[in-house]
Amino acid sequence: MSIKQKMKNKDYDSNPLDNPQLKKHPFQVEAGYFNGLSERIMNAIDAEESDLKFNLHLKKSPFTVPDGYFDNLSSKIEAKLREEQKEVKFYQRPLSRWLAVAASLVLLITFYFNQSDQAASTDLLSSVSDETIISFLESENGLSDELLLNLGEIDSVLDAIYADETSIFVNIMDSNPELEYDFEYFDY
Amino acid sequence: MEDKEILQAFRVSSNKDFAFKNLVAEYQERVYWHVRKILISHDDTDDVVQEVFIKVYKNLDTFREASQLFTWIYRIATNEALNYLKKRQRRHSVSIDDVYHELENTLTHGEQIDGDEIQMKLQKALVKLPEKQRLVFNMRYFDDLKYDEMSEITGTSVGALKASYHLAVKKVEESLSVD
Repeated sequence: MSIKQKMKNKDYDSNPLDNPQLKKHPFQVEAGYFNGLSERIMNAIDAEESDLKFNLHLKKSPFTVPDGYFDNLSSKIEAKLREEQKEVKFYQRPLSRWLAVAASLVLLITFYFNQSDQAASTDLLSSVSDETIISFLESENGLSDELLLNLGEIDSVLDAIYADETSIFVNIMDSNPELEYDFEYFDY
Repeated sequence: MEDKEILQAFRVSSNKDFAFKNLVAEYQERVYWHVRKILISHDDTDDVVQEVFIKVYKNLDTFREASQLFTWIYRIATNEALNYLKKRQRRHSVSIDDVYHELENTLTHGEQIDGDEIQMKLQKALVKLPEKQRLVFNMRYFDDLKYDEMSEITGTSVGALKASYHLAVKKVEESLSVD
């Protein structure tokens, strides 16, 4: 070692981190690593964007409402409700009620005298489709709100679609409660 | 005003309208956004939301406090929104697929929609889901409802809801990752 070098090393002895050799790290990357890096980062960003758990931006609704919509909604509902309450139902009208009773009596008498024609009447009714009867009842408010609420229509319709999709999962979960843990993974 | 106070006030006829006003103020936005996510169109949602609250008014006397008021209202809103879609399908004698196609069309060309690319991609993936999966996804992902609350609303078991959500998430993530 030359005297010059020895002197230099002596300097590093007093301050070892000044040695430029130390600035060189021992790590290596495979050839071409940096060439594909930006593409891989972009792919990772895309993957994260489509990850519902991490991309909270997706939670924001894209839907908007007209300015002041919620300020006026309540009064619109109240106005509509008042309007509905004003409408006197058919059976509440005194004259209509009597007409209805009279019509019922006529029907009963007709029915009594035409029992032999019963088969023909049934045929007539069966020619009316269920859809038409439902539409008629709906338009005449024949189905009470209470009844509509309890129809459970939503369940029957949805469950039909649903059964195919979920039956396997449900059966497995019912018989293996410990699998609950796996599903919790998807709990966002 | 708390739910309990609203319900108590509603039972006294002189306070009925005041209680209802408070109920609407409390729940109008939640009901609106729940229905909007099902129907997509603002105008359709506006009609249905009004019907929902009219039904709430007419039936609040029959509400049994076994469940929470908001899950009961959500249930009515869900029924009304889904019935609205079904009525439309019946009126125009079209298949349910056509109705979903219409929803997708509203997403692309409708008014009062202002999402960026990824948000719209998510909504388009959602309208392709079976109705119940879409419903479950909306309630869980966007509204952060608990499974037992969702169970009260839909009348479906918690296990089935979890399975449904899991399937929905899988399908949605698949759709989002496709360019």
